[in-house]
Amino acid sequence: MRLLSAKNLSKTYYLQKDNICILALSNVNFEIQKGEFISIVGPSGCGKSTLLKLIAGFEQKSSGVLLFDDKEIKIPHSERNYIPQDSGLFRWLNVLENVKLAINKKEDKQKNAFECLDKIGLKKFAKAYIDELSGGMKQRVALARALAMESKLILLDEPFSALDEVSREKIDNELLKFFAQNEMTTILVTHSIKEAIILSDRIFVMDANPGHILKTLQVKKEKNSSYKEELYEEILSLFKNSFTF
Amino acid sequence: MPQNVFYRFYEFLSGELLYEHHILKHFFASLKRWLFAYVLAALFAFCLGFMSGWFEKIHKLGVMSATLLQMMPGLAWIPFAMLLFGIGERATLFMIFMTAFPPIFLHVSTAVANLPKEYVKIGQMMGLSRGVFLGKILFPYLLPSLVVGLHIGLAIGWRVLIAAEMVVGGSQGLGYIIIQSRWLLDFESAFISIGLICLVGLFSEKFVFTRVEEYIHQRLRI
Repeated sequence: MRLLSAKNLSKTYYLQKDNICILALSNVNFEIQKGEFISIVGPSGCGKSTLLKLIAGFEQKSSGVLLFDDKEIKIPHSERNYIPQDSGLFRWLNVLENVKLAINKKEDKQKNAFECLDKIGLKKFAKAYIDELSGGMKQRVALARALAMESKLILLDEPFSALDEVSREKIDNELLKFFAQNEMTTILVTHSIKEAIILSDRIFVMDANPGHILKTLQVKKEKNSSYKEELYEEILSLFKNSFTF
Repeated sequence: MPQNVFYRFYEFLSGELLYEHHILKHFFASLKRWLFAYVLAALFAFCLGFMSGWFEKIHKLGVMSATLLQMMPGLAWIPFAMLLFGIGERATLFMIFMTAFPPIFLHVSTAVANLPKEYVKIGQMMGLSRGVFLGKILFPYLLPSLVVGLHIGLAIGWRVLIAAEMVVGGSQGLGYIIIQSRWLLDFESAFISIGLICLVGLFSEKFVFTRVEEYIHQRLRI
Protein backbone atom coordinates (compact mmCIF):
# COMPACT_ATOMS: atom_id res chain seq x y z
CA MET A 1 0.00 0.00 0.00
CA ARG A 2 1.47 3.32 -1.13
CA LEU A 3 2.11 5.83 1.65
CA LEU A 4 4.32 8.46 0.05
CA SER A 5 5.04 9.47 -3.52
CA ALA A 6 6.93 12.18 -5.36
CA LYS A 7 6.67 13.12 -9.01
CA ASN A 8 9.04 15.62 -10.67
CA LEU A 9 9.68 17.13 -7.26
CA SER A 10 11.97 20.18 -7.33
CA LYS A 11 13.16 22.69 -4.79
CA THR A 12 14.88 25.99 -5.52
CA TYR A 13 16.36 28.29 -2.88
CA TYR A 14 16.62 31.99 -3.53
CA LEU A 15 19.61 33.64 -1.86
CA GLN A 16 18.56 37.24 -1.43
CA LYS A 17 22.02 38.38 -0.36
CA ASP A 18 23.71 37.18 -3.55
CA ASN A 19 20.59 37.49 -5.71
CA ILE A 20 20.94 33.95 -7.06
CA CYS A 21 18.75 30.86 -7.24
CA ILE A 22 20.10 27.46 -6.24
CA LEU A 23 18.42 24.33 -7.53
CA ALA A 24 18.68 21.98 -4.54
CA LEU A 25 16.46 19.19 -5.91
CA SER A 26 15.45 18.47 -9.48
CA ASN A 27 12.86 16.03 -10.80
CA VAL A 28 12.86 13.62 -7.87
CA ASN A 29 10.54 10.65 -8.36
CA PHE A 30 9.79 7.82 -5.94
CA GLU A 31 7.10 5.77 -4.29
CA ILE A 32 7.31 4.42 -0.74
CA GLN A 33 5.10 1.66 0.55
CA LYS A 34 3.68 1.40 4.06
CA GLY A 35 6.07 -0.32 6.47
CA GLU A 36 9.17 0.16 4.32
CA PHE A 37 12.52 1.27 5.69
CA ILE A 38 14.26 3.57 3.20
CA SER A 39 17.75 5.00 3.56
CA ILE A 40 19.00 7.96 1.58
CA VAL A 41 22.73 8.18 0.97
CA GLY A 42 24.77 10.57 -1.13
CA PRO A 43 27.52 13.16 -1.05
CA SER A 44 27.19 16.32 1.07
CA GLY A 45 24.99 18.95 -0.53
CA CYS A 46 23.01 16.53 -2.70
CA GLY A 47 19.72 17.55 -1.07
CA LYS A 48 19.14 14.59 1.27
CA SER A 49 18.05 16.74 4.18
CA THR A 50 16.09 19.07 1.90
CA LEU A 51 14.11 16.10 0.62
CA LEU A 52 13.38 15.00 4.18
CA LYS A 53 12.26 18.49 5.19
CA LEU A 54 9.95 18.69 2.16
CA ILE A 55 8.35 15.40 3.20
CA ALA A 56 8.05 16.68 6.78
CA GLY A 57 6.40 19.89 5.55
CA PHE A 58 9.18 21.94 7.17
CA GLU A 59 10.03 23.36 3.73
CA GLN A 60 7.84 24.08 0.70
CA LYS A 61 8.45 22.47 -2.68
CA SER A 62 9.02 24.71 -5.72
CA SER A 63 7.36 22.40 -8.23
CA GLY A 64 6.17 18.84 -8.75
CA VAL A 65 3.90 16.64 -6.69
CA LEU A 66 4.50 15.27 -3.21
CA LEU A 67 1.71 13.15 -1.79
CA PHE A 68 1.31 11.50 1.61
CA ASP A 69 -1.67 9.18 1.87
CA ASP A 70 -2.73 10.67 -1.49
CA LYS A 71 -2.89 14.16 0.03
CA GLU A 72 -0.59 17.04 -0.89
CA ILE A 73 2.01 17.84 1.78
CA LYS A 74 1.80 21.49 2.75
CA ILE A 75 2.56 21.92 6.45
CA PRO A 76 4.06 19.79 9.25
CA HIS A 77 1.70 17.17 10.67
CA SER A 78 1.89 14.64 13.47
CA GLU A 79 1.51 11.82 10.90
CA ARG A 80 4.99 12.65 9.57
CA ASN A 81 7.53 12.81 12.38
CA TYR A 82 10.75 14.61 11.55
CA ILE A 83 13.65 13.94 13.92
CA PRO A 84 16.55 16.34 13.28
CA GLN A 85 20.22 15.68 14.00
CA ASP A 86 19.98 17.33 17.43
CA SER A 87 16.78 15.31 18.15
CA GLY A 88 14.56 18.44 18.31
CA LEU A 89 13.72 17.98 21.98
CA PHE A 90 13.12 20.92 24.32
CA ARG A 91 15.96 21.19 26.81
CA TRP A 92 13.87 22.93 29.50
CA LEU A 93 11.46 19.98 29.66
CA ASN A 94 12.44 16.63 31.12
CA VAL A 95 12.12 13.38 29.18
CA LEU A 96 8.58 12.68 30.40
CA GLU A 97 7.39 16.24 29.73
CA ASN A 98 8.85 16.14 26.21
CA VAL A 99 6.89 12.98 25.43
CA LYS A 100 3.73 14.18 27.21
CA LEU A 101 3.71 17.39 25.19
CA ALA A 102 3.29 15.33 22.02
CA ILE A 103 0.16 13.57 23.27
CA ASN A 104 -2.96 15.35 22.13
CA LYS A 105 -5.47 13.21 24.00
CA LYS A 106 -6.51 14.82 27.26
CA GLU A 107 -6.91 11.64 29.32
CA ASP A 108 -4.11 9.44 30.63
CA LYS A 109 -1.32 11.58 29.21
CA GLN A 110 1.09 10.52 31.96
CA LYS A 111 0.28 6.83 31.53
CA ASN A 112 0.62 6.97 27.74
CA ALA A 113 3.92 8.83 27.98
CA PHE A 114 5.29 6.22 30.41
CA GLU A 115 4.17 3.42 28.06
CA CYS A 116 6.02 5.04 25.14
CA LEU A 117 9.15 5.46 27.24
CA ASP A 118 8.89 1.87 28.38
CA LYS A 119 8.81 0.65 24.76
CA ILE A 120 12.02 2.52 24.08
CA GLY A 121 13.64 1.38 27.33
CA LEU A 122 13.94 4.80 28.94
CA LYS A 123 11.27 4.64 31.61
CA LYS A 124 13.79 5.06 34.40
CA PHE A 125 15.11 8.25 32.79
CA ALA A 126 11.66 9.91 32.77
CA LYS A 127 12.74 12.67 35.14
CA ALA A 128 16.10 13.31 33.48
CA TYR A 129 16.70 16.48 31.50
CA ILE A 130 17.76 16.34 27.86
CA ASP A 131 21.30 17.60 28.50
CA GLU A 132 21.80 14.72 30.95
CA LEU A 133 21.29 12.14 28.18
CA SER A 134 23.76 10.75 25.65
CA GLY A 135 23.28 11.38 21.92
CA GLY A 136 21.75 7.95 21.38
CA MET A 137 19.37 8.33 24.32
CA LYS A 138 18.16 11.68 22.97
CA GLN A 139 17.29 10.03 19.67
CA ARG A 140 15.42 7.31 21.54
CA VAL A 141 13.40 9.94 23.41
CA ALA A 142 12.60 11.54 20.04
CA LEU A 143 11.40 8.10 18.87
CA ALA A 144 9.27 7.76 22.02
CA ARG A 145 7.77 11.13 21.13
CA ALA A 146 7.02 9.80 17.64
CA LEU A 147 5.30 6.80 19.24
CA ALA A 148 3.26 9.12 21.45
CA MET A 149 2.17 11.07 18.38
CA GLU A 150 1.19 7.82 16.66
CA SER A 151 3.05 8.99 13.53
CA LYS A 152 2.78 6.91 10.37
CA LEU A 153 6.12 8.02 8.97
CA ILE A 154 9.41 8.63 10.78
CA LEU A 155 11.96 10.89 9.11
CA LEU A 156 15.44 10.57 10.61
CA ASP A 157 17.97 13.20 9.56
CA GLU A 158 21.46 11.81 10.26
CA PRO A 159 20.44 10.95 13.80
CA PHE A 160 23.61 9.17 14.85
CA SER A 161 26.26 11.20 13.04
CA ALA A 162 27.81 12.38 16.31
CA LEU A 163 28.15 8.86 17.74
CA ASP A 164 31.17 6.57 17.62
CA GLU A 165 31.10 3.37 15.55
CA VAL A 166 30.37 1.01 18.49
CA SER A 167 27.50 3.07 19.93
CA ARG A 168 26.14 3.49 16.43
CA GLU A 169 26.08 -0.24 15.78
CA LYS A 170 24.32 -0.86 19.09
CA ILE A 171 21.68 1.75 18.31
CA ASP A 172 21.22 0.39 14.78
CA ASN A 173 20.35 -3.00 16.29
CA GLU A 174 17.94 -1.37 18.72
CA LEU A 175 16.38 0.58 15.87
CA LEU A 176 15.84 -2.62 13.91
CA LYS A 177 14.02 -4.15 16.88
CA PHE A 178 12.01 -0.97 17.41
CA PHE A 179 10.81 -0.72 13.83
CA ALA A 180 10.08 -4.44 13.63
CA GLN A 181 7.89 -4.15 16.73
CA ASN A 182 6.10 -0.94 15.78
CA GLU A 183 5.75 -1.45 12.00
CA MET A 184 6.61 2.15 11.20
CA THR A 185 7.51 3.46 7.77
CA THR A 186 10.89 5.11 8.05
CA ILE A 187 13.15 7.28 5.92
CA LEU A 188 16.70 7.62 7.19
CA VAL A 189 19.22 10.10 5.86
CA THR A 190 22.70 8.85 6.61
CA HIS A 191 26.33 9.24 5.61
CA SER A 192 27.06 5.65 6.57
CA ILE A 193 26.58 3.19 3.73
CA LYS A 194 26.99 0.28 6.18
CA GLU A 195 24.18 1.59 8.35
CA ALA A 196 21.94 2.02 5.29
CA ILE A 197 22.58 -1.61 4.23
CA ILE A 198 21.89 -3.02 7.72
CA LEU A 199 18.65 -1.13 8.29
CA SER A 200 16.99 -0.69 4.90
CA ASP A 201 14.59 -2.42 2.57
CA ARG A 202 15.60 0.02 -0.17
CA ILE A 203 18.37 2.58 -0.56
CA PHE A 204 18.07 5.81 -2.54
CA VAL A 205 21.50 6.86 -3.78
CA MET A 206 21.48 10.60 -4.46
CA ASP A 207 23.78 12.83 -6.43
CA ALA A 208 24.38 16.57 -6.34
CA ASN A 209 24.26 19.56 -8.74
CA PRO A 210 21.31 19.50 -8.80
CA GLY A 211 20.15 16.99 -6.19
CA HIS A 212 18.42 13.96 -7.70
CA ILE A 213 18.03 10.22 -7.09
CA LEU A 214 20.81 8.50 -9.02
CA LYS A 215 19.67 4.94 -8.34
CA THR A 216 17.29 3.01 -6.11
CA LEU A 217 18.70 -0.24 -4.74
CA GLN A 218 16.55 -3.06 -3.41
CA VAL A 219 18.10 -4.68 -0.32
CA LYS A 220 17.53 -8.39 0.33
CA LYS A 221 16.02 -9.45 3.66
CA GLU A 222 18.76 -12.01 4.23
CA LYS A 223 21.98 -10.06 4.51
CA ASN A 224 25.12 -12.17 4.82
CA SER A 225 28.51 -10.50 4.97
CA SER A 226 29.45 -11.12 1.30
CA TYR A 227 26.13 -9.64 0.14
CA LYS A 228 26.67 -6.59 2.36
CA GLU A 229 30.19 -6.13 0.95
CA GLU A 230 28.93 -6.40 -2.64
CA LEU A 231 26.23 -3.84 -2.03
CA TYR A 232 28.70 -1.59 -0.25
CA GLU A 233 31.04 -1.69 -3.25
CA GLU A 234 28.16 -1.04 -5.65
CA ILE A 235 27.07 2.07 -3.74
CA LEU A 236 30.66 3.24 -3.40
CA SER A 237 31.24 2.89 -7.16
CA LEU A 238 28.07 4.94 -7.80
CA PHE A 239 29.52 7.62 -5.53
CA LYS A 240 32.89 7.54 -7.28
CA ASN A 241 31.36 7.71 -10.76
CA SER A 242 29.19 10.63 -9.83
CA PHE A 243 32.07 12.76 -8.51
CA THR A 244 33.45 15.00 -11.23
CA PHE A 245 36.02 17.68 -10.51
CA MET B 1 31.79 61.64 61.41
CA PRO B 2 30.33 58.24 60.39
CA GLN B 3 28.81 57.65 63.83
CA ASN B 4 26.85 60.88 63.45
CA VAL B 5 25.27 59.50 60.31
CA PHE B 6 24.13 56.36 62.17
CA TYR B 7 22.89 58.45 65.09
CA ARG B 8 20.88 60.73 62.75
CA PHE B 9 19.48 57.69 60.98
CA TYR B 10 18.34 56.29 64.31
CA GLU B 11 16.70 59.63 65.12
CA PHE B 12 14.88 59.68 61.80
CA LEU B 13 13.70 56.11 62.27
CA SER B 14 12.49 57.03 65.76
CA GLY B 15 10.15 59.61 64.28
CA GLU B 16 12.07 62.85 63.71
CA LEU B 17 10.89 64.38 60.45
CA LEU B 18 13.27 64.87 57.56
CA TYR B 19 12.15 67.68 55.24
CA GLU B 20 8.58 67.49 56.63
CA HIS B 21 8.20 63.71 56.23
CA HIS B 22 9.24 60.54 58.02
CA ILE B 23 12.31 58.95 56.38
CA LEU B 24 10.35 55.80 55.59
CA LYS B 25 7.78 57.90 53.78
CA HIS B 26 10.58 59.28 51.59
CA PHE B 27 11.93 55.79 51.08
CA PHE B 28 8.59 54.23 50.13
CA ALA B 29 7.68 57.18 47.92
CA SER B 30 10.79 56.49 45.83
CA LEU B 31 10.17 52.75 45.86
CA LYS B 32 6.53 53.18 44.80
CA ARG B 33 7.43 55.51 41.91
CA TRP B 34 10.19 53.21 40.76
CA LEU B 35 8.11 50.05 40.82
CA PHE B 36 5.03 51.62 39.26
CA ALA B 37 6.89 53.13 36.29
CA TYR B 38 9.07 50.03 35.95
CA VAL B 39 6.15 47.59 35.86
CA LEU B 40 4.41 49.81 33.32
CA ALA B 41 7.58 49.95 31.18
CA ALA B 42 8.07 46.17 31.51
CA LEU B 43 4.49 45.45 30.37
CA PHE B 44 4.67 47.78 27.38
CA ALA B 45 8.18 46.64 26.46
CA PHE B 46 7.21 42.96 26.67
CA CYS B 47 4.09 43.31 24.50
CA LEU B 48 5.68 45.60 21.90
CA GLY B 49 8.97 43.68 21.95
CA PHE B 50 7.09 40.44 21.40
CA MET B 51 5.20 41.88 18.41
CA SER B 52 8.34 43.40 16.95
CA GLY B 53 10.18 40.09 17.26
CA TRP B 54 7.35 38.02 15.84
CA PHE B 55 6.59 40.17 12.79
CA GLU B 56 9.70 40.33 10.64
CA LYS B 57 8.55 43.48 8.82
CA ILE B 58 8.49 45.68 11.94
CA HIS B 59 11.44 44.05 13.74
CA LYS B 60 14.18 46.22 12.22
CA LEU B 61 12.21 49.41 12.80
CA GLY B 62 11.42 48.41 16.39
CA VAL B 63 15.03 47.54 17.22
CA MET B 64 16.31 50.74 15.60
CA SER B 65 13.83 52.93 17.52
CA ALA B 66 14.55 51.23 20.85
CA THR B 67 18.32 51.45 20.26
CA LEU B 68 17.91 55.16 19.60
CA LEU B 69 15.97 55.57 22.86
CA GLN B 70 18.58 53.55 24.69
CA MET B 71 21.34 55.88 23.50
CA MET B 72 19.66 58.80 25.29
CA PRO B 73 21.21 59.38 28.73
CA GLY B 74 18.56 59.26 31.48
CA LEU B 75 18.98 62.92 32.37
CA ALA B 76 18.52 63.97 28.74
CA TRP B 77 14.84 63.15 29.20
CA ILE B 78 14.45 66.04 31.68
CA PRO B 79 13.46 68.68 29.09
CA PHE B 80 10.94 66.27 27.53
CA ALA B 81 9.52 65.38 30.94
CA MET B 82 9.18 69.04 31.94
CA LEU B 83 7.60 70.00 28.62
CA LEU B 84 5.10 67.16 28.74
CA PHE B 85 4.27 66.98 32.44
CA GLY B 86 5.81 69.99 34.18
CA ILE B 87 7.46 69.39 37.55
CA GLY B 88 6.21 66.59 39.79
CA GLU B 89 5.24 62.95 40.01
CA ARG B 90 4.31 62.30 36.39
CA ALA B 91 7.56 63.76 35.06
CA THR B 92 9.54 61.37 37.30
CA LEU B 93 7.45 58.39 36.20
CA PHE B 94 7.94 59.36 32.56
CA MET B 95 11.72 59.43 32.96
CA ILE B 96 11.83 56.00 34.60
CA PHE B 97 9.53 54.60 31.93
CA MET B 98 11.62 55.95 29.07
CA THR B 99 14.89 54.59 30.45
CA ALA B 100 13.63 51.16 31.60
CA PHE B 101 11.69 50.49 28.38
CA PRO B 102 14.48 50.09 25.74
CA PRO B 103 16.59 47.29 27.30
CA ILE B 104 13.52 45.16 28.05
CA PHE B 105 12.10 45.77 24.58
CA LEU B 106 15.39 44.97 22.85
CA HIS B 107 15.98 41.74 24.77
CA VAL B 108 12.44 40.43 24.21
CA SER B 109 12.32 41.47 20.56
CA THR B 110 15.69 39.95 19.73
CA ALA B 111 14.93 36.70 21.57
CA VAL B 112 11.57 36.26 19.81
CA ALA B 113 13.10 37.11 16.41
CA ASN B 114 15.87 34.57 17.00
CA LEU B 115 13.52 31.74 17.99
CA PRO B 116 14.74 28.77 15.91
CA LYS B 117 12.28 28.18 13.07
CA GLU B 118 12.62 24.48 13.82
CA TYR B 119 10.84 24.99 17.18
CA VAL B 120 7.84 26.51 15.40
CA LYS B 121 7.77 23.67 12.88
CA ILE B 122 8.12 21.01 15.57
CA GLY B 123 5.32 22.69 17.53
CA GLN B 124 3.16 22.55 14.39
CA MET B 125 4.15 18.93 13.82
CA MET B 126 3.13 18.06 17.37
CA GLY B 127 -0.22 19.78 16.81
CA LEU B 128 0.26 22.17 19.73
CA SER B 129 -2.33 24.85 20.29
CA ARG B 130 -1.18 28.49 20.31
CA GLY B 131 -1.51 28.65 24.08
CA VAL B 132 0.54 25.51 24.70
CA PHE B 133 3.18 26.66 22.21
CA LEU B 134 3.48 30.03 23.96
CA GLY B 135 3.52 28.56 27.46
CA LYS B 136 5.66 25.48 26.95
CA ILE B 137 8.03 26.51 24.16
CA LEU B 138 8.20 30.22 23.39
CA PHE B 139 8.01 31.62 26.92
CA PRO B 140 10.64 29.28 28.45
CA TYR B 141 12.85 29.99 25.45
CA LEU B 142 12.73 33.77 25.85
CA LEU B 143 12.63 33.85 29.66
CA PRO B 144 16.44 34.17 30.16
CA SER B 145 16.59 37.13 27.74
CA LEU B 146 13.54 38.69 29.35
CA VAL B 147 15.13 38.45 32.80
CA VAL B 148 18.36 40.05 31.56
CA GLY B 149 16.31 42.89 30.03
CA LEU B 150 14.31 43.30 33.25
CA HIS B 151 17.53 43.30 35.25
CA ILE B 152 19.13 46.07 33.18
CA GLY B 153 15.87 48.04 33.02
CA LEU B 154 15.43 47.92 36.78
CA ALA B 155 18.96 49.14 37.49
CA ILE B 156 18.77 51.99 34.96
CA GLY B 157 15.28 52.91 36.19
CA TRP B 158 16.49 53.13 39.78
CA ARG B 159 19.42 55.36 38.86
CA VAL B 160 17.28 57.73 36.83
CA LEU B 161 14.62 57.84 39.55
CA ILE B 162 17.08 59.40 41.99
CA ALA B 163 18.24 61.90 39.36
CA ALA B 164 14.65 62.71 38.40
CA GLU B 165 13.63 63.27 42.00
CA MET B 166 16.55 65.67 42.35
CA VAL B 167 15.47 67.74 39.35
CA VAL B 168 11.80 67.31 38.46
CA GLY B 169 10.46 65.40 41.46
CA GLY B 170 8.01 66.58 44.12
CA SER B 171 8.65 67.05 47.83
CA GLN B 172 9.27 63.40 48.77
CA GLY B 173 11.81 60.72 47.89
CA LEU B 174 15.44 59.78 48.36
CA GLY B 175 16.57 62.01 45.48
CA TYR B 176 14.67 64.91 47.02
CA ILE B 177 16.56 64.37 50.34
CA ILE B 178 19.92 64.52 48.52
CA ILE B 179 19.15 67.75 46.65
CA GLN B 180 17.70 69.43 49.76
CA SER B 181 20.71 68.33 51.87
CA ARG B 182 22.96 69.88 49.26
CA TRP B 183 21.32 73.31 49.61
CA LEU B 184 21.38 73.10 53.42
CA LEU B 185 24.83 71.44 53.69
CA ASP B 186 23.13 68.63 55.66
CA PHE B 187 25.63 65.93 54.66
CA GLU B 188 24.42 63.38 57.20
CA SER B 189 20.95 63.26 55.63
CA ALA B 190 22.53 63.01 52.17
CA PHE B 191 24.69 60.07 53.29
CA ILE B 192 21.66 58.35 54.83
CA SER B 193 19.80 58.72 51.54
CA ILE B 194 22.78 57.44 49.54
CA GLY B 195 23.08 54.46 51.92
CA LEU B 196 19.41 53.58 51.39
CA ILE B 197 19.81 53.88 47.61
CA CYS B 198 22.76 51.45 47.73
CA LEU B 199 20.82 49.04 49.96
CA VAL B 200 17.90 48.87 47.51
CA GLY B 201 20.35 48.29 44.64
CA LEU B 202 22.14 45.57 46.57
CA PHE B 203 18.88 43.88 47.58
CA SER B 204 17.48 43.82 44.03
CA GLU B 205 20.81 42.59 42.69
CA LYS B 206 21.75 39.93 45.23
CA PHE B 207 18.44 38.74 46.60
CA VAL B 208 16.17 39.09 43.61
CA PHE B 209 17.92 38.92 40.25
CA THR B 210 20.89 36.73 41.10
CA ARG B 211 18.52 34.14 42.56
CA VAL B 212 15.98 34.41 39.76
CA GLU B 213 18.74 34.02 37.15
CA GLU B 214 20.27 31.07 38.97
CA TYR B 215 16.88 29.40 39.20
CA ILE B 216 16.15 29.98 35.52
CA HIS B 217 19.52 28.66 34.41
CA GLN B 218 19.05 25.58 36.57
CA ARG B 219 15.43 24.96 35.61
CA LEU B 220 15.71 25.76 31.91
CA ARG B 221 19.09 24.00 31.53
CA ILE B 222 20.72 27.01 29.86
